[in-house]
Amino acid sequence: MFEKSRRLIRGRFHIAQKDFQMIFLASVLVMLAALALVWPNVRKVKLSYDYQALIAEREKLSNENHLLRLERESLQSLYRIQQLAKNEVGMIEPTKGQVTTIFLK
Amino acid sequence: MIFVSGLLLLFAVSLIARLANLQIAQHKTLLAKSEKQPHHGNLKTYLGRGTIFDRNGNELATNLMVESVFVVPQEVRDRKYTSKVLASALGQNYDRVYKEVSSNKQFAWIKRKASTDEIIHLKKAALSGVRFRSEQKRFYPKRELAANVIGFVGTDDYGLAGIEQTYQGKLKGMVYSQPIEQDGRGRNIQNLGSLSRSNLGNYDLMLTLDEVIQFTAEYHLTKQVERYKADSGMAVVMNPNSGEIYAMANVPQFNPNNYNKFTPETRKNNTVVSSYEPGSIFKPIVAAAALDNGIAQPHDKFFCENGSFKIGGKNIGEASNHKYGSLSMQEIIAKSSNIGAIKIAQKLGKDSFYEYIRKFGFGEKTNIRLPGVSSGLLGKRKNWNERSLASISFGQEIAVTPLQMVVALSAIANGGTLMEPHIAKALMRDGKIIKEIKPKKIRRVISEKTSRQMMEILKFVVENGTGKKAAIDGFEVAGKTGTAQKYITETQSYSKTEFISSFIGYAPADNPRLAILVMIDNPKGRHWGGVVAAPVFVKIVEKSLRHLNVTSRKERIFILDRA
Repeated sequence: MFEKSRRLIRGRFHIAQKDFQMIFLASVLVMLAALALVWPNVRKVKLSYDYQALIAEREKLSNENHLLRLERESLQSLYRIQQLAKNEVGMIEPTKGQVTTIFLK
Repeated sequence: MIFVSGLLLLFAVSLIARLANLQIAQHKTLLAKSEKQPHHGNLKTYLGRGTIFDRNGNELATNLMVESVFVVPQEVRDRKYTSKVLASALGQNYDRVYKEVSSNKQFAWIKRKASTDEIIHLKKAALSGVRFRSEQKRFYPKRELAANVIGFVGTDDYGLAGIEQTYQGKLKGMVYSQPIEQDGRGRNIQNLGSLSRSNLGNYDLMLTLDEVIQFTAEYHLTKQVERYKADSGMAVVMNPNSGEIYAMANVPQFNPNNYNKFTPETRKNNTVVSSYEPGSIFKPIVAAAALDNGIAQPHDKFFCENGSFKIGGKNIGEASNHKYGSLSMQEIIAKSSNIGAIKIAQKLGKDSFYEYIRKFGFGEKTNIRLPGVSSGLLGKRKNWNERSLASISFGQEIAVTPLQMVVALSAIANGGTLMEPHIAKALMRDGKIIKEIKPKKIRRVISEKTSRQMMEILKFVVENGTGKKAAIDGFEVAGKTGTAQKYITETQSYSKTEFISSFIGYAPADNPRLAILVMIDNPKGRHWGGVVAAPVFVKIVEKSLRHLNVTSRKERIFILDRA
């Protein structure tokens, strides 16, 4: 394909092989320079989209975490714990003689 | 051939030159131009109200993301059907919803901050013209706990009561607008500014309240109020050395998540808003003033007129028609003799008594940052009549808030210094303390010697006087009972059937950690402060001291070495 195009261009414009190579090289260099200039921007935009998606994901997880924390706080309500301890587990308050204090050093 | 190559080269060079011109030479101009173009949107972030914590970091008030429902009337296809579904899903009045849906408005709220179930139901219906908007709703995970102190916020997140109201300026949520680069489809590409809470205005707030002590006070107060079928109850627990409020309990309670289902009366914080005639719990103030003034010593005798003393044409007697003869000051307080208290006050004199009452902080606001704080009622000295000195000496003709009373007792307990009570401990951001609120001394009221003498007198009350039910095995308790007759405005006289039963005290007496007042309004059956209020005091002291790692002398203690 490349050889066919080369022949066609050389035949059409009557370009010597050496000149053709020079022009081709120059074009490639220009293209590479242009790509080198544009590529970081393309990459930057792509990374920005990824970053925004991660921000949204973090926001979602953070909300979920917040809700779970709230649920934990609600479940830790002392009124609720006392009701559960007394009515469901059948716990009773210890009498004075049954209490021993242990301090950890 | 050379011409063609030259042309190509020229093209390439001009391309590079243009690129350099755009990217380097015109960089700043084009960047500025680009920022003004519409593809730079604004990302609006709502930073919710600050969280309220107790002193140990437990969340007492926080935010919940919820959705609100609104309609765009022009986009609604079937108004009747839409209104019917909306009214049924959101529990709203059909006529009101229909009126909004049929209006010419661009936008009409149907329900702010709807529940998750309501939203799920409505989203399934997929109605045209019905839209949702995320909002933050204030949420109180501990429900009734300290509700009268924390308060609540309105639909627009504005504090309407309690801490939420007084700290509105520090807690309020805010919308932060941040420039953001967007593509042609409106998708966000990158943030053009940094969003950090540290340079924004609102704070989290840490209170001095202790969840465990607050719960203990509320729980035992509620039990006693129910047991004696009383109208209401209050308890204040304070650190007498720093003025930090550990608990402020009000019964009946309310749930701030549904505050509009409760009456304004129930939502009041009576410990600071309402004032009461203190009755006999005011007698320690008389005794402290007399001791500090040097006009009497604890064992000085006063003649108590055998139970009947006429002042200003009115006979004053003792509770339960006791007929005391000669009593020492210590016995007067222990037996709660009205006539004895009058005799001490008379010896002290009106001017001096008034001065001490003012020094103890009565008749002025306590400076605690809560809404509606009352200064109580104290008549000006020049307006006192011939009975005023006598009445005030046993706690009538003066009205005090429960907090004022605890602050005054704390001065007696801590060696004589009146401390400013405070409910906020620190302002915080991102878990870090930004500003700590330090204890503040107001003034010295009595000497340390008087404070020690008062401790002995108040211990005597609990050991041998009316406060025996406040004794706690293993701890020394100092305190005073009170049984105040309620003043009936209609008849302008004191009720013989309605009382306010109180107990005020501190523990451990020799090294006070807690100063506590318990007041129970209009108990039925029994009404003595030593019977109705003292047991609540005992429960609060026992549980709270355990929570604060203060051990009793009767306790078995083991110290385990982690190593």
